[in-house]
Amino acid sequence: MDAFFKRVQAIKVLYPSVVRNEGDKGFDDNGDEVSMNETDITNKITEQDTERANAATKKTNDKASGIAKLKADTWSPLTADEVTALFGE
Amino acid sequence: MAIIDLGKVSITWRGTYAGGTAYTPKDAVYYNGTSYICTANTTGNLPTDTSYWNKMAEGGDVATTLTTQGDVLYRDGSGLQRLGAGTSGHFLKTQGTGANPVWAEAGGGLVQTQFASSNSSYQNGSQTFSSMVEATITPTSASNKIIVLANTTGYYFNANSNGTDRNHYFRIVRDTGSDVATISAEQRSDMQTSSFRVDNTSMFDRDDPNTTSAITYKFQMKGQGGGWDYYTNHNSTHASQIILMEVSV
Repeated sequence: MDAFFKRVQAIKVLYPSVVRNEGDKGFDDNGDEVSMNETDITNKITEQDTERANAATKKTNDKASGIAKLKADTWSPLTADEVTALFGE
Repeated sequence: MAIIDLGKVSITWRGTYAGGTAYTPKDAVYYNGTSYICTANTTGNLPTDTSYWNKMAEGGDVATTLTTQGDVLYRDGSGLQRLGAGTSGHFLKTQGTGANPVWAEAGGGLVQTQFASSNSSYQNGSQTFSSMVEATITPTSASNKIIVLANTTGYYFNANSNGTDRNHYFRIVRDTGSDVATISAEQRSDMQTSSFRVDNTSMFDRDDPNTTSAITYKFQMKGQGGGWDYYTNHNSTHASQIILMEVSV
């Protein structure tokens, strides 16, 4: 995931009217430039990076715990997230 | 013993004829491609004046027709003719049987090229065309053609987990400042599911702008909305370029 893609994903959340980005400028569907706050964008990118990292960690943990339950032969039920981590949706 | 003056007993070569020089019999000169021998004392009478001069050797048409560096000799309907040095860079052009040769520009030549590559990151998910890259050219002749080559490499991203097909539209336009004309257009179908897809789109066309004013060619795209975006111009792998070539015809 490259930096520009991350930036656009952050802008989509912060400024839903922006449908086109050229460099550091965002435009709405009428072609009008939308004023954007670079600090807010940077913070949102960091927040989304953290969310993605947490989601990846959780998936790894769910997979590990699911495998542990299956190996333990304790008949503990798998959670929905463990099932997804092990077998997909 | 008496001394008898025999005068000149042989020809004296005097070089190129000069009007201020006094010549005496048996002086020989060069004049306009022909050599002459003096037959009577003279100053200021041209060697063509038979009262004072006789021809020794005539140079002929070639010597008198070619006069200047760069001259080319050809024959027309009546005899040898001179084609003076033409414009630098021109080539000798035959006009066929019964016609004289002329100097002319080389046909079909490449006159100039313009190139542009954008490094301004670009993402478009809107339904409005915008430029990924553009370049300006000023034709040297209104009859010349412009060949436009445009390319973009980027990726599509569909933010939806499911959906229907969406289209992306590409086009090349000519912008004269007062008028925008589409000279080439193309439609690309996009994928339905949430994923990336790297793709390359190239377009090319020949345009007849019929002007010698500056014109800008723009490589543009737009989407169909609904969360389908196109990304390019943000690194060496994902970039857009345009090449303009003016050719004479």
